[in-house]
Amino acid sequence: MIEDVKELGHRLFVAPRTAWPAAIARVVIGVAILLWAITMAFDSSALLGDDALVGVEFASNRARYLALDSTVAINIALFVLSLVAIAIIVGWRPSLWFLVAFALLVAVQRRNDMILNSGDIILRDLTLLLALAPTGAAMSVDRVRQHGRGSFWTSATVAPWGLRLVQLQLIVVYFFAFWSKSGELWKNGTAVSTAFRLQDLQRFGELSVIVENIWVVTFLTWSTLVVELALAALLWVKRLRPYLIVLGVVLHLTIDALVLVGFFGFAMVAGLMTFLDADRVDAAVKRRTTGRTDELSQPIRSGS
Amino acid sequence: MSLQRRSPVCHDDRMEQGGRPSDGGWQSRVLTERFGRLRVGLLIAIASFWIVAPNIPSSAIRDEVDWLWEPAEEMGLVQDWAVFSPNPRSQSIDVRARIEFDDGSIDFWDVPEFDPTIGALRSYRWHKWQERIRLNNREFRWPAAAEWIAHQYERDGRLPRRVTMIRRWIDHDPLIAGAPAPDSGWNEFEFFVWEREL
Repeated sequence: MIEDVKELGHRLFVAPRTAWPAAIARVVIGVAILLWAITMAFDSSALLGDDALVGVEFASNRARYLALDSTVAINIALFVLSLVAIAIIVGWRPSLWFLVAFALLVAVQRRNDMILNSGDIILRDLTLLLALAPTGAAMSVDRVRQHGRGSFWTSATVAPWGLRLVQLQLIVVYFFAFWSKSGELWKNGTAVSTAFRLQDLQRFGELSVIVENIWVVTFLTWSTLVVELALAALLWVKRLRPYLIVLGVVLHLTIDALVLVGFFGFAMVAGLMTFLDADRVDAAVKRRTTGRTDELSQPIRSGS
Repeated sequence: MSLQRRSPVCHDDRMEQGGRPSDGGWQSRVLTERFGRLRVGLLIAIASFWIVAPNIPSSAIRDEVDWLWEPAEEMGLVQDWAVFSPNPRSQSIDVRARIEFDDGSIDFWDVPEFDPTIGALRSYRWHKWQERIRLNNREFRWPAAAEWIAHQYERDGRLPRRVTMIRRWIDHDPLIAGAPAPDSGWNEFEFFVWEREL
């Protein structure tokens, strides 16, 4: 029994595999952080500056890491955050920069917590947790610096324990998002109609078919619950994982296209990438890079 | 003559004996020592607890032990995933301000709107602000908000005399089969008035 638990623990947290899922998640979350910082910079004066809509006196009482109490300080922080995001995207010391990005995100977000949604929170949670994962072990500057130019499209084998925490966070989000939808509108199948009629959350205006056709509305409402529960309960099942990842991405893209949810979908898709099958991605990358190497190895015929 | 390129490093080439991770940064190196494995085990246990436990539904017992994840929340690792729940809210909401000037003229301030593609990544922040500022439990923030809006309209010696904050909303009843979506028109309520001190 103890041996079985040890074996399971080893398989879950230690047994080496390629780092592609972590690296892909790194790039996606890096792009999300970059966009977050750039879009925030446009409103830094109005929402976070020293003469902002929400004054400095209303900043959060919680740890802020940096007291960003002036427009200049906020803009510098957002500029640094953009640079840090680029370092993360290209994979230059990503663990270190994930920690710096987390501290900056918390510092900026706690300056004005009136403007935050769940997307901002999951973005910073995943930023912290990805600092514990070996995200620079593939498709990164770090890899190229260690092993030369040809190693960009290769991966080290890594212990996945850090990635497990990111995966746990994703599953917790899906499970409690499902669990908390206990209201009558979710049960009677009309919740999606109400949600999509909220004018202040509409991105491209109202689509009558998804707010007025009872069959479509009921299908969308209950399938949202089914997909959330499936993502919470079945993502560990290897056979079902590819389908669930696709379903999850479709769910987030659909919500993102219709509702103003900020960075929620972006961050969740990044998290879903950690569930990609490392061996399959590795095989696909090898097929592509081997093909390219073969192409480059062909003799160049004179006169051709 | 042929173009030759150095073969990419294959992960299998770097696999050490005994199935240990190779070249995977500190996350893998730390596992090579017993003390390192112990630290990782402890980190996984604490982080997992901090991720799961704060989501447990409210109860007397939960309230007794919530200090256990207080360090995580202080640090910034926050858990709150009640999205559109228990039901989506049943009102579309809007906050606008009516600005009256000394000369009797009137203007209106609305939350800025941006393009629905990239601009949507800015709009949601303003919409969150209006979702919260309208609530009675945010009353202590109303004077500062109204004053900020007044400040935006100070131009060419023209000063706002009064700013009236207005909450607007549409009620959305649940959809009924065979009927159009049952929505009310816009309702309005003036929830705060700021006046310039003379």
